[in-house]
Amino acid sequence: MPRFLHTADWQIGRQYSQFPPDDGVPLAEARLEAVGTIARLATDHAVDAVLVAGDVFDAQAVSERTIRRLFAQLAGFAGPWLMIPGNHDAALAESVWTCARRIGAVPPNVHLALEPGVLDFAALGFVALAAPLTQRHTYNDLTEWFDTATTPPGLLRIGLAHGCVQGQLAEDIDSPNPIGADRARQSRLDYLALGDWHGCRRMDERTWYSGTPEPDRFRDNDPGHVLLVEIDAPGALPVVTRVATGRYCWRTLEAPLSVASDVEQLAATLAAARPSDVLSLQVAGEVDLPGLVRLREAIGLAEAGVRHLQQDLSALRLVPTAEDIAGLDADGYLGELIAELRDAQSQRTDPEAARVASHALTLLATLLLEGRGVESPA
Amino acid sequence: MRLQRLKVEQLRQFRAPFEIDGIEPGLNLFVGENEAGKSTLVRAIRAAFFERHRSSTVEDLRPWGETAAAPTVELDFMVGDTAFQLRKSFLQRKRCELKYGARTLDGEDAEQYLAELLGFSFSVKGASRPEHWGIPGLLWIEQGQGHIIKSSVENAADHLRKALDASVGEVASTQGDALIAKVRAERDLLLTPKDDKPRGELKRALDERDELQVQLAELDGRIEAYRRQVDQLAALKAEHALEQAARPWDALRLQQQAAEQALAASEVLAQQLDAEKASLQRVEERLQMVEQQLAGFEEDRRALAQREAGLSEAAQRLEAATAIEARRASEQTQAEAACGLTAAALERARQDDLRRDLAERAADADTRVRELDTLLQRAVAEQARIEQLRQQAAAAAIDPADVERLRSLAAELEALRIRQQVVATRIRFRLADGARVTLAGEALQGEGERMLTSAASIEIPGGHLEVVPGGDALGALARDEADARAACDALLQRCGVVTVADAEARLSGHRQALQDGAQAARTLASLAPKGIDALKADRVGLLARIEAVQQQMAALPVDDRAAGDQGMTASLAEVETRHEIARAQAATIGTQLAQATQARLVAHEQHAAAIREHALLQVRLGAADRQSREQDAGRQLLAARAERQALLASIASKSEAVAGTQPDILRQSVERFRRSADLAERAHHDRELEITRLNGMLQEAGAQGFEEARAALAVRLEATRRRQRELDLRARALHLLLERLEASRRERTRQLRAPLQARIDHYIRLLFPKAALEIGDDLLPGLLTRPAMQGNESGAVSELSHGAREQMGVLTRLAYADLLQEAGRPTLLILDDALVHSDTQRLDRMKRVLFDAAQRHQVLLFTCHPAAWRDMGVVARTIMRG
Repeated sequence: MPRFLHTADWQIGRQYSQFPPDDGVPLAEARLEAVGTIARLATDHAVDAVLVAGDVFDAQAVSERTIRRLFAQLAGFAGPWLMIPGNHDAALAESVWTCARRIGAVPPNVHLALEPGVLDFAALGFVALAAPLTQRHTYNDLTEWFDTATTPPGLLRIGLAHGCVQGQLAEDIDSPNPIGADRARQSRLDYLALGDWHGCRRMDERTWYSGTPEPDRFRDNDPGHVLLVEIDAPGALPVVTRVATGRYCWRTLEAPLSVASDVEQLAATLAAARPSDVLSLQVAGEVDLPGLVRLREAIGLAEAGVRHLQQDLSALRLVPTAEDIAGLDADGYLGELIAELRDAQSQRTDPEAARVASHALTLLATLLLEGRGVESPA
Repeated sequence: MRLQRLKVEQLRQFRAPFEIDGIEPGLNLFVGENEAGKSTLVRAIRAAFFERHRSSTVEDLRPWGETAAAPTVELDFMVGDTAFQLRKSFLQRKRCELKYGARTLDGEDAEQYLAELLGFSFSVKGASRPEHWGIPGLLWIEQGQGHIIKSSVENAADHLRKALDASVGEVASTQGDALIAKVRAERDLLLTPKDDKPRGELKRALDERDELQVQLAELDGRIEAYRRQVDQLAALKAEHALEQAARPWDALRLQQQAAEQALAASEVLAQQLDAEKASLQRVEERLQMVEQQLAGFEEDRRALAQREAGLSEAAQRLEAATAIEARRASEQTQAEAACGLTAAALERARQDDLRRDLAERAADADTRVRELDTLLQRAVAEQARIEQLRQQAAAAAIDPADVERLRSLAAELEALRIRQQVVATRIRFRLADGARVTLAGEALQGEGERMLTSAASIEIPGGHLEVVPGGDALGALARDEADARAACDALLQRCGVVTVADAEARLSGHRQALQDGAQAARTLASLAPKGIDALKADRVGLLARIEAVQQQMAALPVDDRAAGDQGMTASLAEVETRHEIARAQAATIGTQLAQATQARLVAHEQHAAAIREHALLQVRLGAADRQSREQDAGRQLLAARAERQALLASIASKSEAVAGTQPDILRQSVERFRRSADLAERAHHDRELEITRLNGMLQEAGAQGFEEARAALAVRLEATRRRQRELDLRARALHLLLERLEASRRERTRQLRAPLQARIDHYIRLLFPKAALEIGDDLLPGLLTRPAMQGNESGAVSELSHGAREQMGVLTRLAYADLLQEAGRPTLLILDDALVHSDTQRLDRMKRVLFDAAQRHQVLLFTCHPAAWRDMGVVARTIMRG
């Protein structure tokens, strides 16, 4: 009973420009480590082969060191690794693959399908039909030839492709490289291993996107898995099992604040965050001064507790109450200024001015809070 | 605030302790002479508050020459109900101690406490300056500084605002100033204070962002170039593989070979064509030769016929020429004969002519001789007459000058006579018949008249009358006449004549003879121009010629013709003409004869030639092999023509064939295919090189991993951008805060105006009833309006006189003091020699003002004019040097 690990979209070399380097580097490292995890899983599950459906690398011109580190991660599994290039690492005339071969980084158990063709693993009971990308983008279905490809009977027909199954994925997909919706059936494939979609997704009973093994964006489409694929015999339906590989959990927290308890709730949510979390916090709505203090405190705590917390408070408005103002000793014209800024941050005619006013209000409140201890001798 | 006790020690001129105690709550008057120490006390109070006890810039406090002094000030004062004791010493013993209530503050704590209590600041470094003095700087008027109000108020502004905020009726911000300072400090970290340009962290973030953007753009450019090169490499490789498989140059080479073969075939054909053309040329030549040969034969035959005709013609011509010659010869004989006849006739005619001529010449000579004889005769006669006339003329010769002289003498005599008659005595008489009267011997009769020039006697019957003409003139005239008469007579005698008329006649005859002689000579000259002897010689010559002619005539042959013939003889000219004609005719005929002879000779020669040629031709035509040769030539002609025909046909077909192959085009094709193949092969090779080159470049570029580098750079850029945006937002927010806060503070300050104005109004009415002093937004006195003679007059305080400005300055300070007091702040007014520029009236009013103020504030007034302030109702304390 041949079994495979299906994975894709390792995107090695990816860096996280939206994060400060301190947080981005570990995230990039995690991508590499995920490959080691896959190798270990492959060995653990004693699979016949690991199918890598494209976008192994995030870019063509990555450093030799990165290339060597990637291939070094494969050492944990001695069986065959089948790799096809995707749109990020297409098999161009000069590519990351030619570079890898030139520097001798590719281990012998890695089978690179840099051209479309059939890879014969008769000894293992299967053949692989590989449809690598040889251009950055194509507008033809590179898997079309699978339909007419003949293979020895009695061997599993496993397809590897990278692209977008037509008519089934959302519009904002990674590339225009199309794949026929009914390819597995038309081509009599036992399994079609796809890459490009970073979430794990079943397209039909024989067609799956494994998704990326290590999440890389705030999109809740179930990334961070590899697929264990078991097929009894040619023609039998594959049994597909998700195996979690992701180290970090990328989550978006959207918190619209309106009443005081909302802040507490959010604080509780933040307090519950795990060290493996990569959080995108988007806070909107209104908050009074104690609420803001509480929110800041909660965020500060969470920042220390998670891998990365990305906050966007631009839609949050500080709305100090009369008690707040009194509490700040913001008497006289300071009180008037606070009121003025509070109004200015809510006006709609000049969003930029509103933003500045909002920030100014927060600053003012902060300064006043800091200065509350100052005493006057009189 | 109320000062109760003041003590100084070791301070300037107060080397010994000097103390003033029991200072009153209201007005206190301190008087003293100049340099008594009034200003030193004021200085001591100021130093106690303003100068740090640790200050090293208070040397002025030291008594002159005392290096070990520790100037000390002690002050007891009340603020509200709290009693304060301040003891401060400088220089040698730096101490500061403040006791209030149960508390004691030392050193800087004490100083700081006082500063906040009274509203002033300390100098960070060096002596305290006016900008540090704050509220006391406003209320403590230094000597001669009372008129300066603007800077005093400005220096106190912050403290005033702080002190007065509470008094303006609304809630002012208690921490506004501290906040503003904090916001300003924060803002100034990010923006330049003057022109809001980014600085500090913001500037660094901006610069870094820009630099990273440039780097990123550069890297993007390289990546883009790299990608383009990758694509180029792919295209090249695909092309290369395609070409490698297709080998297009092989097909081109094959095409080249085919074209070359076709060209070779075409060239062979062209060579054949050229050979045939050469053959044709030769055949043509041969044909021409044979045709010439045949034509030669034909020509020979035609020539023989011609020769025969020519021969007979020549014979005929010879015959004709011979006949003509004979005719010409007979004609010549006749002509010669005729010519002989005319020649004889001519000879005769010439003799006749000569003869006649001679006879005529003889006759002429004869006639001439006779004429000469006549001439000679007349000439001789004329010669004789000339001699006679010459003799005649010689005989009548007289000098014409003499005759002229005679004439004049005669005229003179006549003139004298007339004058005598004029002068003469005129005697007229009429006598009766018979009367006898004689005058000078003359008997007178009848009637008449006589002139008497000399005495005369008239004889009358009976006696005589003597008449004597009167005057001397007659005598002179008579003498002149006698002289002239004598001259005339002498001349007449010399000339041989009797009278003048004779002389005239003789002269005329002489002249006539001379004229006649000349006439005769001319006649002779016309008769014998060369003289008579010449005529005689001519005559002799003529006679000799006659002789000669006669001899010639005699020599002529005798004319034997009949007399009749002689008469019939034609004129010589006619005979000559006739002879000429005959001679010409004979000559013509001679010429014709010569020509005829020549013609006959030519004809003869031609005839002989014709005979020879004819004979030759006949010999040739009669040659033995001639016929066979002619036949041979005929056969050759036919053969050559056939050959030519065949060649022409072949050439035509071959030419067409060669043209059909288009050898030029074939040659071009060969070149074209060759070049194309070369190019294709070279392009293939070049492409291979290019692929190698690109591969190398890309490998090198790829090894740099710059897409990864770009991603790293993008991370940095994004972080920088984020930081820059955050800082920018912070800067703008701070800027906004600062702007708003300062605006609010300014607004708040303006709100102090109304209460200040109220206090000013209070004091100005004490000074000028019905006057108004306007306080501006800057809380300074602005326009002073006073009643004048006509309506009100207004003027800025700054433009008032020194004295008036000082008064306004004091008023303003008092107004501020009132406000401060209302706000619960300590107030103390010190006037050091103030209002010295005020006149008596104005000073009186100012005293009212001060007295009023002293009801509310403690006022310390130092003056050196005790009399001027005697009416303040207080005891003046005299200050004496310690």
